[in-house]
Amino acid sequence: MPKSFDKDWEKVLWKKQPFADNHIPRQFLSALRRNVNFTPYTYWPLVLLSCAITQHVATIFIFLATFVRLKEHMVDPRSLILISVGCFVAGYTIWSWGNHTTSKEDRYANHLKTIKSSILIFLALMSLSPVLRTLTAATSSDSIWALSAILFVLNALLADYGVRRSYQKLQEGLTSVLSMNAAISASVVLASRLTADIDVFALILFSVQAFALFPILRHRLQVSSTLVQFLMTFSLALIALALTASLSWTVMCIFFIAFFFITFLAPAFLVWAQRYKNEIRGPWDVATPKVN
Amino acid sequence: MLTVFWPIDVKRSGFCYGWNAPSVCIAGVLELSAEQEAKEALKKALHCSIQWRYITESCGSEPVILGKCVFGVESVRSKRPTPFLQLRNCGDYTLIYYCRHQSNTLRFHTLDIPKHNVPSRETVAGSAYLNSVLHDFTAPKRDQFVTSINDVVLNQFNSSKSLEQALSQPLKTEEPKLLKSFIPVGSLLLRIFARVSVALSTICNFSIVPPHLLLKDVSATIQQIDVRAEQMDFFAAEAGSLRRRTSTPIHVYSGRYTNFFNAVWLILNDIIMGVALGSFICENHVALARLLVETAEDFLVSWVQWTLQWLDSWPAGLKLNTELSHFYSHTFIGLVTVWGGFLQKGAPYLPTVIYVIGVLSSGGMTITISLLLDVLALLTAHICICYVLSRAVYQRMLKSAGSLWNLFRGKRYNVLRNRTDSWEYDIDQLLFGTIFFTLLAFLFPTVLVYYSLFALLRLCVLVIQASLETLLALMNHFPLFALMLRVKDPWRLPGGIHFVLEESPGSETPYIVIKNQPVPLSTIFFQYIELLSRLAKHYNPLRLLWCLLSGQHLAAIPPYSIRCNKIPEDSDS
Repeated sequence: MPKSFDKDWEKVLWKKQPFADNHIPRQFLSALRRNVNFTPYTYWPLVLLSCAITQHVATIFIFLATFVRLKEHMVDPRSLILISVGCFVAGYTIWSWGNHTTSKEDRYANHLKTIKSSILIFLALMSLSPVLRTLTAATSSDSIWALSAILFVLNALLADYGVRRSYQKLQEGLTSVLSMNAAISASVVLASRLTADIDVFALILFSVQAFALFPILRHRLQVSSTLVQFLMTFSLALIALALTASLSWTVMCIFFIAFFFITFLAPAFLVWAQRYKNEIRGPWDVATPKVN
Repeated sequence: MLTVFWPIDVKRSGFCYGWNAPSVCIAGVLELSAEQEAKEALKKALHCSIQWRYITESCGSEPVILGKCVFGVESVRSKRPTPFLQLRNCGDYTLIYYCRHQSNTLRFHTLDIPKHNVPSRETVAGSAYLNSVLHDFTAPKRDQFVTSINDVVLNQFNSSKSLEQALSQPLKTEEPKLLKSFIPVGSLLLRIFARVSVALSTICNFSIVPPHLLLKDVSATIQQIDVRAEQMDFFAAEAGSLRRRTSTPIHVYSGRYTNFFNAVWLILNDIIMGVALGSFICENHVALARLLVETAEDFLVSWVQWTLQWLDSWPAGLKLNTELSHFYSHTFIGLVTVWGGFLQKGAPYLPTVIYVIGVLSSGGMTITISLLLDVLALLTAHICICYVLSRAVYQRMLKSAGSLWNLFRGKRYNVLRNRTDSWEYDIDQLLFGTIFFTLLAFLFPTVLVYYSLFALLRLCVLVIQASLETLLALMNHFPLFALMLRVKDPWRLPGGIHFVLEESPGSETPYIVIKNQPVPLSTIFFQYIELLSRLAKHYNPLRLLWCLLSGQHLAAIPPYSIRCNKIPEDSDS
């Protein structure tokens, strides 16, 4: 509460007051409030929330490792296709298992629709893979690496890491669609380095799987218990590291440092930076309606 | 103080006759001794003269004897004699002098610049606006103001000389001298003209792809022949009306006269220039043909092929998609080669064709220009075809990009309501959109490069075509006769009157003379100004740039826009 205030001073100019026109009253800025709605972050919930980012980054790393293996002919493209299809079936089962909202007939119709669209996408990708292979065939490899790096960074930046509460309907914002576009473009760009059409098909199928369909599953799993979240994060990171370990130790160490930083160090930094939070509110702000 | 209008060239004493309403206007002086004689002479002249019957209505009323006028002895000797008037029902008066002109000189007064094109408020007939115009109290109507000088008074000025001639020679009718020589020769010719023009018009308006594409849209020569046919038709129609000198009001007649002879002069000039150019072309037809073939080979075939090959092999280090680039360049090189083959086959016949063009250009320089336009269109037809093909692909890509953008934003174009609505897409639609988008994004630079090559070529051809068409339009409509009239005899192109205060050295008071103002140059050139504004609007560089970027068709200006009709409502006098 202000200790002193000018009793007769009013904030009007159309009355003649005993004060000068530019008089600053002693109760100036007494209505200023700092950090009104401030609940400071705590460490462990923040770590849990950052698991979403870790999962996304882990997906990117897995994809990169798969690409390198494909390029070096370390893995058979047909087995990659089988793995992708298997993951899709498993993921869809988990997703529909967590889907409690719709009725039985709707669920059946949804299943049919999903099967139809998945077959369509499969066939479309198969027919388009020769075209996709030669899209950027003329560009030199250095530009390709740089371009795909930029696109993956864009994908990581624009991705939707938010939590979808209470089984909301699937609503894609512009940024999340753009991030998916960036990831698919990056995989197309990388696919031009491969030699055979079936390699290209396997890679693109895997990228569609990882960057378009997996985020949906991830959003669905985010509302489940902490243990599941943590487990998933851990397993994904482990797969990424394992895949990279047989290729190059340096890169694996880099990936490990990245994971560690995102999951543990960044939340600590954010918690430490809370002390500098200085949010000023006052009666001059736009009123926020309270809708109960 | 009464204002009396007095003719400036009258110097005799006698009984003055004229009009009383709307103001006192004296038409002339009868040198007779008694008033009764004067009245009878006037009545006889009015009833006998044929031409006077037509003019009476425009002057408001029949002329009457107004009073007596006397010229003083000393005033006769001075340059501007001042008469003493003893008029019927007035005492004091001031004199304002006006000039009288013979009707066959086609000089006259008007109050205003004749506005033929601008529909005045009163002439918006038959529209819903007319009813509200009647109740519009803000628009000044000319009849509201009762002025001393209005149209009726000016008609009286214009007819005063005819009245005097009617009094002195009652049964003679006058015609402009120039026209007398035309008429005996012309009537058979006019009939032939009319038939030929109808035949030509039907040929020119023959529609190839009904209902839109007429033959004259395709070729500039046919368009020019159509213009000539219209002019012949105009002659046939107008020459008849020019004979009716006495029954038409003078401003309408003068307008028609100027228009007619403008057309005659224009066509004669055209034919003279065409004959000169044609003889030059006929003399050098071989050299011109060789020059044309070489230039066409160099620029239109070899250079285009070289550029296409250059684009195919990493132009300026820009790496285009190899397969698509190969496809484009092979297709277009094939097209251009086929066209080059046609040119080679036609090259031996080219000297004959140029000779024929030279012979035909004796029909006028406009025919030469339009033939040139046609030859240009034929020679660059392959560029046009390539442009249409690459433009189609480019525009389709742009449209797909637009709808994909809508897809990503979660919106959809609602055809029923003609607007963009938000829409929930399924995940597989989004996926397809993504894949298609990557395809589009990576193929776009190739399409853009090939499109821009042919669009630039088409732009150059269009610029040449535009300048030739401008020249053609200007040659078809130059107001030569009106310009000469304005220089030689401004009285024949009146655009208003003004009062001049003149001083005569002998007398004490200065006096006022009514003189006319010639029509301003902007009215003479109004067709030109309109034409040029239309051309500027169509070939506006910003508009062309926008058409280029958005993939719309770069078309030449439709030929109807740069053609004005020759019907008298559009006269320039």
